[in-house]
Amino acid sequence: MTVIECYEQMQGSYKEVLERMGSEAMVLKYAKKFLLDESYRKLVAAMGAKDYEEAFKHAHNLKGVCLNLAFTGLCQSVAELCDALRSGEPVAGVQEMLSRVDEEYVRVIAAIQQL
Amino acid sequence: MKHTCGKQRNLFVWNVVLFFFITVISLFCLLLARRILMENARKMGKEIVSSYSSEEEHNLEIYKNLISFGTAYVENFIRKGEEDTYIREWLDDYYNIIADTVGEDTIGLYAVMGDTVYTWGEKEGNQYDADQARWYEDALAADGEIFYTDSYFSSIYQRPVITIAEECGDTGIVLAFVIFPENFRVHSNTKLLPEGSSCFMCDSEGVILYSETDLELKEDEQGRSYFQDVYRSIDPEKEKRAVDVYYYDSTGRKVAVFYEEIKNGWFSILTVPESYLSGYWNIILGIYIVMCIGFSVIIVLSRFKESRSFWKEKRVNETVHMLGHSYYALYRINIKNSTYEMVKASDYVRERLPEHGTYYELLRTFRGVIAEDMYDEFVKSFSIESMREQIERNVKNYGGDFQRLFNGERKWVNVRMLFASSFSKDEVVLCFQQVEEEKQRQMERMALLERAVEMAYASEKSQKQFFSSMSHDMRTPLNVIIGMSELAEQHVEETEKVTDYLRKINMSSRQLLGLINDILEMSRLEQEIKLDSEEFNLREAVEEALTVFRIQAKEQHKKFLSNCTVTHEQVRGDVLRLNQVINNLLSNALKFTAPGESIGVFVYEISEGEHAKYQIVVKDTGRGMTEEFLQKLFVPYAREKRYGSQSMEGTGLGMPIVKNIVTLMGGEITVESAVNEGTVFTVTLPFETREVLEEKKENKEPEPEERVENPLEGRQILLAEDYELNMELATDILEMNGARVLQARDGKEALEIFEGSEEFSIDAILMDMQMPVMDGCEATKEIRRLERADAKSVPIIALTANAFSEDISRTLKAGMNAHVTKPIDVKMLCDTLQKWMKKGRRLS
Repeated sequence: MTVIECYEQMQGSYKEVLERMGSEAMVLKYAKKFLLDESYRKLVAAMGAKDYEEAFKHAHNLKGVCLNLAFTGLCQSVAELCDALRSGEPVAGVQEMLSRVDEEYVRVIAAIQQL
Repeated sequence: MKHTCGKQRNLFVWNVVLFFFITVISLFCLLLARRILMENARKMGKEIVSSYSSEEEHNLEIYKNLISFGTAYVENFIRKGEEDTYIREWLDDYYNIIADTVGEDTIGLYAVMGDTVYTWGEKEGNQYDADQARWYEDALAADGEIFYTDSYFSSIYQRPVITIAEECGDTGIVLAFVIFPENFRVHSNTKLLPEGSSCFMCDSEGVILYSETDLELKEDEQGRSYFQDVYRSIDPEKEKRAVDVYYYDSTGRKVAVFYEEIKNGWFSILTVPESYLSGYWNIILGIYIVMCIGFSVIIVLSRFKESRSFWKEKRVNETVHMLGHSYYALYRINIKNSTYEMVKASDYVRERLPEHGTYYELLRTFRGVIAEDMYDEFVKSFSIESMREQIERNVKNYGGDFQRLFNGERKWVNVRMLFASSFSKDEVVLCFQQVEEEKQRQMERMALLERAVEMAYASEKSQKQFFSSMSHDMRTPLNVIIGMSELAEQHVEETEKVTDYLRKINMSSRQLLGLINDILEMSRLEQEIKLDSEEFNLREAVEEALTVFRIQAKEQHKKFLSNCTVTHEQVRGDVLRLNQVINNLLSNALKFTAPGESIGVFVYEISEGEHAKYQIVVKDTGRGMTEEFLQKLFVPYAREKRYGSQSMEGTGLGMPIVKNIVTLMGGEITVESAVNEGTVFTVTLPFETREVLEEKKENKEPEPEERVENPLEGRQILLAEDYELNMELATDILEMNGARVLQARDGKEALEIFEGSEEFSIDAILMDMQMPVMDGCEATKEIRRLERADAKSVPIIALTANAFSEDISRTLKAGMNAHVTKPIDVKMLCDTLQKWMKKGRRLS
C-alpha cells in the first residue's frame, strides 16, 4: 500500500502532510512512529479511571500528533473529545466521543500497518 | 372514619356494661352487708333479751324453790297433825330464813290457813280473810303447781305487787310471797345494754313490772303508755319474717323491739334504737357512697381523657388520610422478614395479593404493571438488600421515578422509601404517587434546558472554530504582506524591487480581503444580529463613548480615569456594537460604585500584525460580586430569584447581551471581582487595522516568495517539547532547514539549558505551551528574568494548539515574542523564526 492510499483509507490529508513535511519519506517515517505512540493508550486508561484531567492531557497530545500528521478523521474526533475534557470535569457524552475516537484510531492503525 | 366511630361506640357500650356490672355487684354486697349487720344486731338483741329473761327465770326459780321448801314443810307438819300455832311459829322462822336469803324489804310472806290470811314481813301481823286474797283461789286451782299473779295493786302495801302462791299439798293451806316488781330488776347484764336501749319486763297482761331505760320515763301514765306501745308492737309472726322489726315509738324514735317470754308467761322486752343498729350501716353506706362517687368521677375523668385523646387521634388520622390520598399505594415492608403489609394498593395489586405476604410476591406482581424496560432497575433499587443498605446509610427518604402502566397507558410514578428508626427499625414504607404531569413538565423543562445548553455550546463552539480557522486562514496572506513590506522597507531605494513587493502585498491583501469578506458574510448568516463593518478611529470612538460617563462620574463625585495605548487606531468593525459594550460595562460600573470610588477604562492593542486584537479593560473599586454571582453573570435571567432580597436593579440581561455581542464580534469577555473590592471586566476584541486595509487595496499578482535554500542554516534553536513525537517532528523540520536543535523535555530543562549556554549561542527558543514540571509561560518568565545579555532579546516563540485570544494574550504577557500554531507548518515556522531572529539580532 502506498502512503497516499494509506491516507485515503484513514481519511487523512496526504497533500497537507506532504506540504508540511516536504518528502514522502518523512511522512512514512512519522506515520510508522505513530504506531509506537502511547498517548491513545494512556487516554483510554485515564478515561477508564475517570481521571479527566489526565485524559485531557493525553487527548491534547494525541490531537497535536494528528494535526501534525494530518490524520484529519481521527483528529476531528479527538479534538471533540479534547474540547469536552478541557474543564477536567465529566461532561455528558464523553464516552460516546471516546468510542468515535476508538473507531477512527483503529482505522488509522489498520491503514498504517499495511504500509 | 366509620371504623373508628364503631370502635368508639363499642368502647362506650363496654363502659356502660362495666359500670352496670360494678353497680349491681356493689349493691348486692351492700345489701349483703346490711343483712349480715342486721342479723348480727338481731342476734345481739335476742341474746340480750334472752340473758335478761334467763336471769328473771333464775330469780323466779329462787322464789319457787323457797316457796316449795315452805309448802313441803307445812304439808309435812299437817300430816304430822301439828297445830296451826306450831306451823305459824315455824313460818316465823321460815320467813326469817327467806328474809335472810332475799332481803327483808323485798318480800312478804302470806299464809292462808283456814279462812285467815297471816302475813309476815313489812305488814307482819295483819290478818284478814282469805276471800280478800285474790290469788288464793287461783293457787288452790293450780293443783299443786306454783301460781304467779300478774302485777296488781295491793291494798295492803298500797303499791303494785306480784304474788307467788302454792298450796301445801292438798291441805288447803296456801303459802304466798308478795314480791315488789323492782326485785325482778336485772342486775348482772345491764352493762350489756346498747346505748339508748330500753329493757322492760312485763307480766302476761302487759303490765310493766320494771323498766331499765335511758329514757326519762316515769312510772306514770306516760311511761305506761310508752311501754304499752312497745308491747303492742310485738308481733311474733312479723318478728319471724323480717330482720328489721322497726317501729316508731311514741317519742318518734325508730326502734327495734326484741322480746322473750318467760316460763311463767311474762315478757322480757328490749328496744334498741335504729340509730345504734344502723350506726355501722351508715358508715358502710357512707363509704359506699363515697366509693360510688369516686368511681364515677374516675370513670368520667377517664372517659373525658379518652375522648380527648380520641379526638386528637381522629385529627391525626384525618391528616394521615389526607396525606395518604396523594399516594395511590402504600406498603409497609419488613426488611428483616422480607414481608409486606398492604396499607393501600391499586386495584390491580389488591385483586392479586392478600393483605400480607412475602415481598418477593409483591415484586413479582409489580412486573405486570411496571414498564418493561424499567422493571429490572426497579427491582434492583428496591430489593430488600438495597433497601437495607439505604437504611444502614441512614437514608431516610430514598426513591425515584419510573413508568407504570395504567390501563395500558404508561404514566410516570414516583416511588419513595420512607424510613424512620424511631418508629420501626426493620420496617420501611413504600409509597407510590402519580407524577405524570409533574414529570411531563419537568421533562419539558429538561428538554428546553438541554436544547438551550446545546445551542449555547454549539454557538460557542462555532464561534471558537470560526475565530480559529479565520486566524489560521489569514495567516498565510498576512505573512506575505508582512514579509514583503519588510523587504520593501529594506530596499526602499530600489524602485523595481519595491514595486514587485508592493504588487505581492497588494495581491495577498486582496486575497485576505476576500477571505475576510467571506468569513464576515458567513458569520452574518450564522447570526441573526448583523454586524456592520465600517472604518473608524478606535481611540476617538472610545473617547466619544466615555464622554457621557465622564460627566456622570463627575456629577456623582466618582474618580474617572482612562487611557488608550493603541498603535493602530484606525480599524474596521461595528462601532455601534462596540459602543453598546462600553455603555453597558460603564453604566454598571457607575451603578455599583459609591461616591469617592473610582472607575477606570484602559484600551490596549495586544496583538499586532495578524488580525489585530484590542483589550478594553473596565475597572471599578465598587461593591464587587460574589463567586456565586460571578458564575451566573452571563447567564440570561440568572439573577432572577424567587426568594430572597432584591438588592439589584435592572433586568439582568445587560451582561448576557454584552457577552453575546462580544462573542459575535469574535472576542472574549472575562471578569474578575471580589466583594467590596471592585470588578474588572476585560473585553478582548479583534479588529481589522488600517494597515491591513490599505494593503488590501493594492492589487498585485502573488509571486512565489524569495527564499533562501536553508533559511535556518547555522542557527542554534532550543526546542522545549514534552511530547516525543512532536519533538522528533519539530527537530526533523528544523534540522532539514539547517538548524541545530537543543532538546528540552519540559520548561525547567529548557531554562537550565538556556542558563548553561553561552550568551547569544542560542538564536531562538521554541516553547510548547503545555508541559509538565514547568509550562511554557512560566519558563519564559524565568528566562526573561535571567541576568544575561540575551535574556531579554532571545526570541521565544510559542507553539500552541489553538489561536484563542486568551492563549495568545497569555504568551505575550509571559514575554514571548510570537506564536506558531500546530500543526507545525515548516514554512511558517521558518519564517517566524527567521523574522524574530533578525529582530533579536538587531535588539542585541
